[in-house]
Amino acid sequence: MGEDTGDVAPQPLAGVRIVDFGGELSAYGTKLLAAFGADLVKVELPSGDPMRRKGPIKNGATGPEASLSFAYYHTDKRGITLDFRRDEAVPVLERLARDADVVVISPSLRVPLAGFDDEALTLSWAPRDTIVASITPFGLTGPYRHRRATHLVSFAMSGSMNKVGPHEGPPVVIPARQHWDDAGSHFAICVLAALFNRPAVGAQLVDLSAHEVMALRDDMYDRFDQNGAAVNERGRAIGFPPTGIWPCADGPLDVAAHQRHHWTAFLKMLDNPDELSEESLEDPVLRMEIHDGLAEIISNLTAPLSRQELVPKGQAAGLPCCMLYTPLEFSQDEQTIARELFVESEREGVGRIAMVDHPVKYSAPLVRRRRNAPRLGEHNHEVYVGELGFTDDDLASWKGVGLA
Amino acid sequence: MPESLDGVRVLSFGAFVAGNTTGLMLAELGCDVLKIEARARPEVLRQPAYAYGRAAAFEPSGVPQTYLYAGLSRSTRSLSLDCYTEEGRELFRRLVAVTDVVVENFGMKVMAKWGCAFDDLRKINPRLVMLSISGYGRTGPRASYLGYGTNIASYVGMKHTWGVNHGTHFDYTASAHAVGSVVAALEQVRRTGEGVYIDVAQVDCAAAVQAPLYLEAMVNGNDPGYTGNEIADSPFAGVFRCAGVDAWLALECEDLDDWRQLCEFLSRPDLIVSTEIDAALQRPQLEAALVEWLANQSKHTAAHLLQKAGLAAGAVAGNEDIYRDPHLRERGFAVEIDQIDVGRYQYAQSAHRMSKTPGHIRRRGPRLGEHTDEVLRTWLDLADDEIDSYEAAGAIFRAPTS
Repeated sequence: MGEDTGDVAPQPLAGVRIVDFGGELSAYGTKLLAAFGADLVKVELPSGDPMRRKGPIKNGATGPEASLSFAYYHTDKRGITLDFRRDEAVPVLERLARDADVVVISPSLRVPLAGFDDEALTLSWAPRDTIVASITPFGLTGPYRHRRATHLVSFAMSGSMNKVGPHEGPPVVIPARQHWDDAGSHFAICVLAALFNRPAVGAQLVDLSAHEVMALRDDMYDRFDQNGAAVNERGRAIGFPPTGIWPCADGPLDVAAHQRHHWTAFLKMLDNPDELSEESLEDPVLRMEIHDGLAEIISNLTAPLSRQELVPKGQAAGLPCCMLYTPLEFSQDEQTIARELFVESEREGVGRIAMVDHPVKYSAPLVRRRRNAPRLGEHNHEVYVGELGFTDDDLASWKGVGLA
Repeated sequence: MPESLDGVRVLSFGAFVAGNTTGLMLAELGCDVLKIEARARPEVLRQPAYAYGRAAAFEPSGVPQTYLYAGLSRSTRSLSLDCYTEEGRELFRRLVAVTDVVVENFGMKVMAKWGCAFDDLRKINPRLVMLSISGYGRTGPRASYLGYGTNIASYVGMKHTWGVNHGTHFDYTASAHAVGSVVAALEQVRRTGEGVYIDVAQVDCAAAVQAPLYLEAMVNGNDPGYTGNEIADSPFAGVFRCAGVDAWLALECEDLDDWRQLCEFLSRPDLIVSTEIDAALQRPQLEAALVEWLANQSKHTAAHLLQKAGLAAGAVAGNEDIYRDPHLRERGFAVEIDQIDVGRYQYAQSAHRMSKTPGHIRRRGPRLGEHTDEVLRTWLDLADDEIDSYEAAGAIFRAPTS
């Protein structure tokens, strides 16, 4: 998966053109589609995608290229600008869609898309054989379709936030944009499936709702149907000790000992200490009853030891255990380095920055890193003049009226 | 109804949440997914411990079943094959020759020990797509590591930044990446004729959806700590208590326009600001005004009224709220299935909504071995005596039909 070396091995979406009018919610899904070889043209409003102003921002850097989030979520994409909210944009949109296999949309009351009819669910300028793929917080139909959501609000409504955080509250949002990125992964599945079956069934409309992606997790429907739900489920301990977090000299150790033989493995990791040799401790229910006292003994045993030494030893004995890492520690772990999860990339005006690579490994080159995220309007000339047949005068006149 | 992945055959050993949801999604996209379980080693999620306090239930064959596993295996068919027997492995290889995809999330060495690693199977079927899902990936010094969901969350830095371990979160993240990769690989096979091996690690997928945390640490040297409900890019965000038992509202003002809207909504024009710095200074006052108003509002009323005012606000939903959610109901999200041995339950419809080939629930969860006979006859054209001899060797199990 290295830099493009002119190797022309085909990729699954080579030759597929996707024009993306979505925002923060479509960014991860279209990043995956771009990684699979699609020509992904990201269309930003002339003021720039809002993510260009979102953190993390490279220390000391300013301007539209300084956002590390934008750089990550738009790797492998090309970028053009157009005020696609305005009716004057329709002739340009028509030309943009003419050769597109997929048009990605994320229409909302705040950022409408010219030509989109949100009752008929049609896009006036999309050719009949173009897949129109929508990803929105709630979907294009239903009573919440016009509701506004951010990642925080979307996660709150999904059913997952309610279960995490301190018992007394408040519930806590998952870090980064994970909930929307997961929705993005499912969006990519839909677009890939719609492309896969297009020869047989023709183009179709994709209507992905981030709300639905999350609501189907953790068997919430059937679990409620069977058992109802406690009013407050937060703060419940998972499992019996030694399941939990233990201090070590070089940072916390995480143990998940859910099966009976894990106790034996745990003892082996600690060289069968006398303090835990009592046979009755093999009973997890008893261990739970004496939780606090046992926790003190275990903490005293692990505190002077190295987790970097304990973890391989525990794993060799059959114990599911690992280091509890900070993000930086994880980025420096030997497994992370061996898997080449992080790569370096050069960003104009920003310098060399770390990037997270495509997360899946393949035996064939399905994924190739082709380009860094586009600068604002970087491919305007290349796309509008070079590929769509507009002239430099057209570009100048659009600029004059704020269209591009 | 036409299906997205019509005619694609999948043999899946996928177990637990990550493996089963992968099979389920492929099935609901139209693949014919055969979940493989040996009669001697039924899926772990069938154990009564996963019946969540309800009485243990059994299939007519005596195999335990839970509503959880019946749900996670919905839309698939069941082939009972014991690959711990030589005859079972031989039969599996015959099936591989006529399938498109193999899915497994065993421990590191199981498939190789059976002589069924990708390099073995591609000799039988050069167009095969094989997917492995694991915690840490199939390469690297920690490749053989055992891990539950909570381990993965700790290892990748989520527990450190979130303060909580959500057990199965990255199972779902991994299975979504897995399914996307399988569809991409099927397209690649269509284009090149060459099979593809896919190595999905929960850890790597977790890193991809948490990328901003690592970039902050690696590029700027600020190792993120517990982040709570602060949203760094927004002037006002949080989760606030409403009237009622454990009732909460999430609200976010993305910019100073939103801030002004909120001030006007709360009849507090005195708190309107024109700079981010003033917003930071006034934040405690705005929060106090909001909390005072929320004290007499249910979470649903508060969300409704704030949305009417154009703000991003939502009630923190529990399982009951999701179950009753009028929006999900109107979109046909709830589907009742008669899971014969454990009862009737409502399950969530596929989120893969496409106008012509929507993902959809195809059938109840199968009984173990329910489709063994039918699959061997239709996929391999086996005759009675051949099937009987596999059965005599303990290689297959056929569920009783009544």
